[in-house]
Amino acid sequence: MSNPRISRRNFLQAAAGFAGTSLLGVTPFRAFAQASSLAAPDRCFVFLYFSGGFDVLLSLDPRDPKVFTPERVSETRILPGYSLLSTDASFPTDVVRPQRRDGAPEPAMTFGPAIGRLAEHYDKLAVVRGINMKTVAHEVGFRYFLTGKQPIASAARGSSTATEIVGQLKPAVPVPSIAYGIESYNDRYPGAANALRVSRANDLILALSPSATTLDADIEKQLVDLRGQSVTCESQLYDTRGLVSQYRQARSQMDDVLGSKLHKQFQLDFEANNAKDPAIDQRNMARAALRAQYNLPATGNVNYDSPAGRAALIAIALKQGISQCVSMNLVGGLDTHFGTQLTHATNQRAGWNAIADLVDDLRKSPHPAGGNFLDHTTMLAFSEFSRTPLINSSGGRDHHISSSALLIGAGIAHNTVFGSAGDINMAPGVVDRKTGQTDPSGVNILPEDVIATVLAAAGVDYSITRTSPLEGLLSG
Amino acid sequence: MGRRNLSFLIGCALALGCSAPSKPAAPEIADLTPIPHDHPPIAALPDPELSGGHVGRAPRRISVAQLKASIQTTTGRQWSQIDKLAASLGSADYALVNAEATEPNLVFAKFLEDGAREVCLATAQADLAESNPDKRVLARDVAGNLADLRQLSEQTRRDNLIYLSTRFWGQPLAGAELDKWNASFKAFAERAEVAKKRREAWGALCIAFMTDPRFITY
Amino acid sequence: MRGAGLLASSVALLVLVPWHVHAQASDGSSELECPGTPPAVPIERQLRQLYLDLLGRPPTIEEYRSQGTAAIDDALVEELTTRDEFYARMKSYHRALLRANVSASVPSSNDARLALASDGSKPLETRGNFSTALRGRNGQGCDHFIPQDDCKNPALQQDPHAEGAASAKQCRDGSGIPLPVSFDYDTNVYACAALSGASDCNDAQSKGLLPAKHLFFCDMRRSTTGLAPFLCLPDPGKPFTAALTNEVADEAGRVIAFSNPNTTDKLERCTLSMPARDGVRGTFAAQRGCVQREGWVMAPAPFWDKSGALEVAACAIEAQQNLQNPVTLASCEGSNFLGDRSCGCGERFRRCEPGDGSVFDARVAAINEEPLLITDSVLRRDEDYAQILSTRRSFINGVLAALYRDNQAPMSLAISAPLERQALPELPFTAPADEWVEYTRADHASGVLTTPAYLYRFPTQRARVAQFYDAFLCKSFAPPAAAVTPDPADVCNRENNLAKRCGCNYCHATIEPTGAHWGRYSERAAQYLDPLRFPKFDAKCRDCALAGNGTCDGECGNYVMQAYDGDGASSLGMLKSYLYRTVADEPNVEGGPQLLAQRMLQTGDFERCVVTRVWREFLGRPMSVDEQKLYMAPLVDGFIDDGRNLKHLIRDVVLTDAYRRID
Repeated sequence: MSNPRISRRNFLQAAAGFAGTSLLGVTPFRAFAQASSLAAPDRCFVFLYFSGGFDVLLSLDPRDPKVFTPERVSETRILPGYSLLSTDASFPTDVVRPQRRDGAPEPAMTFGPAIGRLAEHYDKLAVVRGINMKTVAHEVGFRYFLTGKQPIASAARGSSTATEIVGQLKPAVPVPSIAYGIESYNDRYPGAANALRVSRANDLILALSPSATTLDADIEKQLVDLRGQSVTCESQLYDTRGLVSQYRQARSQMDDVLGSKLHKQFQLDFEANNAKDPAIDQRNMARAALRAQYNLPATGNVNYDSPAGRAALIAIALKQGISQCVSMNLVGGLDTHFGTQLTHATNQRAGWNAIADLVDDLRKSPHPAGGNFLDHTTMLAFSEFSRTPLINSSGGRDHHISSSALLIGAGIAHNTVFGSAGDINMAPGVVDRKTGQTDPSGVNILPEDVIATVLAAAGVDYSITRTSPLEGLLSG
Repeated sequence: MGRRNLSFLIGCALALGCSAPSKPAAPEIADLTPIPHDHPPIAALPDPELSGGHVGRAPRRISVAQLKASIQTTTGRQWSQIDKLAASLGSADYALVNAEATEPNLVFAKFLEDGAREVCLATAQADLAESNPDKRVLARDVAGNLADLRQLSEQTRRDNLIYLSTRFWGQPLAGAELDKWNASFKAFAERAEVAKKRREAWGALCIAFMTDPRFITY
Repeated sequence: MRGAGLLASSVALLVLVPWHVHAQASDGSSELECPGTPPAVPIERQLRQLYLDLLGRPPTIEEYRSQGTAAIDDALVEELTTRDEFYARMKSYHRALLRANVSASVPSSNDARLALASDGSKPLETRGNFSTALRGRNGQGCDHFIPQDDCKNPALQQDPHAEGAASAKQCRDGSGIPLPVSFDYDTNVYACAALSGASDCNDAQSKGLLPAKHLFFCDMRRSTTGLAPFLCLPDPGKPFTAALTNEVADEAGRVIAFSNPNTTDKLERCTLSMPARDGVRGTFAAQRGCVQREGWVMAPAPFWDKSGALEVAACAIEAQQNLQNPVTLASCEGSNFLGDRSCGCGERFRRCEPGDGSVFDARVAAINEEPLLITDSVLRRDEDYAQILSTRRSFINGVLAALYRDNQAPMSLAISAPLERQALPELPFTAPADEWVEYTRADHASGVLTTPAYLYRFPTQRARVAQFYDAFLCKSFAPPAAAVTPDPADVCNRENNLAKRCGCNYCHATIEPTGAHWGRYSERAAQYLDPLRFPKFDAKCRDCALAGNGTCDGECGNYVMQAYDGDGASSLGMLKSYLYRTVADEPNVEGGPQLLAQRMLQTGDFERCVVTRVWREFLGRPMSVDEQKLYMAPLVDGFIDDGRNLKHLIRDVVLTDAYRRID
């Protein structure tokens, strides 16, 4: 189904054309019509945050337990600990070598036991190893990766990468950027680039739903008129740092967004359809398909706040043309200083499985501009740092400065491993920036290099990172 | 000075761009050492250019706790959803979220709108039932019972608007802005009486006050 | 008043620019140009700002009116800082500073929570992971229908055909430990098919529904309609049980076990006996494939019970109050007390919690509140602000008093009593949770730094140091820009001592010795390691370590039991806090956080940090470099001269001209 693309300007003008008609209570005919002609942007981005510091030995940077044995620990300072997962038969106890996919080259990478189903998609992945996070404090590491700039003390600098992207590309979508359970920063772009920031799925749906309380239609109209008139010098007194303008812009964005009834798209509960409305039928079928794709229960309530539920929300936002960038706190419970390896592995795997379902969904879905959605989407999975290669005296792992990240999809060199963490204590690697091979005269890979690569993969200006992309990671 | 000179000087003074015919005095080198004085020491404000143009306080959006207190203080009742939505409004719990977010973003604006509607209509409803003006929240300046709003005098409306703007914002309406709000109040009143939804007139006014930037910034 | 010195009227220094506002003006023009200087902030707006900053709420209309057009002066600010709302606002400030919320840091295990059964006598029972050890299967409670001490009653017998004569049953063993009163076959191992049409197993046999040889595998199982017979045989769908094809019979030809012809695997018929685990007397192991339930008893009401009931029904195991296993003498006060059948929940169920989590929530709330009350008291009494780091004063409510006094919650909370039990204020658990009593903690206490809230929220020594530096010294740990990253293949990466490891020592050379100040507080818990009970060196632990006994039967958890290098080897048997510490660092461990606080107060960083934070809090932005040159010294000096009175500092800041301008 091809729909004419509606530019944001047209969208706004048309909405404003109904001067004085409130989009809160009454839905003008034109705004409703536009809701059905949302189109996916040409390039989409997903930022997936694993909260707490993930153990890369279990996923992105494995070590062969037959080589890195407990007896050699004093020499290597690395203990993969895969045998500790043996109480749960669903975890392999060895390094995972993906099976070759039909039509794809031999896999060039291996994974740890917690990688789950994502290993099947090796042909669309690039793993970056041995990143020097330059910190082992939670907020500092997280904000560093989020913005691509090293924080000052723990205060973030600059804008989040998602904001950079939507600020530069200005996509014609109703909610350009969604931030779910994650911080969002905007230091130079207008309010339209701000992320819609929520901490729970229900709040996302609530933020997109019209207000439960409506007034008389004429009074609503008069209220809109009054608001339009109240931009005066007195009311702008507090706008010296743009606070009031930001609020007004948020309100006008809110009006636009509510007119599109996007909350219905995110609700995975089935709608009653006594009138046999074909539009409702179509939505219900899409919901059923989504539930199946993400292993959510076929009927009844969905727990949106599980990793699978969150991945489903990302799919909806991208495929329905609602957002261009989604930043998601995918899974937590990873800060296992004292937990068992099994707890950590289980939590991590839930995240990777959710990503696998999302990647699978995007590979199967055709994109309006040709190819499938994954051909138009770039994803980055990261954490604030990783965990020590040695298990501590409480059976857990502490913070470790060398981390890994995963890049998926468009613009990325596929089936690639870039960089490496050293074989003694998994120290941050020193590599050649072009090839990612170990090079004693090379440099550390830093988070800003990875962010610059993500931006360059989509042709977005990466100068804000003050570094250049890692060429070995870019495709073409 | 001769009359001719004087008239010339006067003429000169009136005409633009003319210079006095006399020879300019040689410039003196100014003395740069400060003159001692006994004024009290002035703790100066910093140079704004060095401080990015700002020498004072940065305006901020109120935090969730302050919003909760503001709603309670200005309307006397609480919004039922504020605790549930606190996290998405930006509240920090200091267990997992360590920083309070105070940006006035779309989610905040939307939830504030929902909250204002719920609280304002309930307050307006309660006001309608209250016969003592001093116990009312919104309609303080209307004497006696709240009857046909179209009967309110110009002065009553203006007084009430000034009262409400002080109550909600701490910034009394004045001048042209007061006129605009007055006109809107009249329009609300007209429509409310015709549609027999008297509480919505006061409710809409309250919503307008509560969702104005002056309510949420300080 | 010092504030007046900063009450400058040097408006002339302000550069005036026409004031542009880029917005859609009301007349539709695209830019609103506002004339001349920004209008002065009206007095009501200034009042509102002050109230929101100091009291957390805007002024009421009456407060606006009583202020009128009078300027905001010292007297008003002083009055506001004496109000309760101000102290509540300062509590929020400190909650943010200390991150005083341990709800995500304290384990919330269900294992010690007592659920209320819904049938029979409705006893309280645990149904967590420990049920496997006690009763044979996870999530299993006791028998709700058979009183433990009436187990010989033939009318109540569940499987008389298999249990034997009721009079021969033993309700408790020689030490009083309750024994099983009924059993069922575990459907995780056996497949059970209903024998419909029969009322019990003998009836089923006589009707030909049950082969005679399988009599012992006939199981009476309870449903909502009562007991009914089932035939339970090893589950053919599972590989392990499908291989048990051999039937072992007794002399009468009745099957008593199923065995694997090729291996020694065996499943014996379920009975009420519980053999000793690994042959150790005093332990009990459930039979494989069997669920063995003890009965219920009436026990004294739990400590959280507010209904006034004197007794409640409870499972016999949970109702026990032993302090140790009567035979093995293993203590019941540890975190795994439910793993020992003889322990139980203790007197008035003190070791356990109600199933709805309300007691857990109350404890977490009390722990969260404690440091805020300490800071609140320092503020209210106009004391030296540095006292928040060193005072021994603290506050306790009923929930915490009961926790310390009665040794409650060993499974979820490991908190040492802050004072000897006899000296703790006498508050019952049922006292209102918001009733707090002041008391003085033991010698080693040090302000908020040793409260359970701080210790749990920052569970490692390194985290405690990082938070201390960040919150009280405004310093964070980051390698310098010129830091040299070592080559990953360099053997210096093997160094175990982070204070020396290449690439890490930039920060850890400071963090490790500073972390030693918390050396007598265990990590991941709020336990104080008393030097008398936990000496610096314990020979027994060293001997265990050398013998390869890593845990020394659970008694050496705080000691170095493994070595990765020479330093470690020579530290075996030492308290972990002393590992890698030089002789110069060792006094830190004994000095505790008090010593750290004292040292840091000598550098002046603490005062500068307080000023920085207060400025940021009320001005909404950090100080610019220029402002630091102008304001930092006078504010810090004033703060110190005033005896580090935080309220006075706050007053000074809100009376500055900078605070009154908005730009």
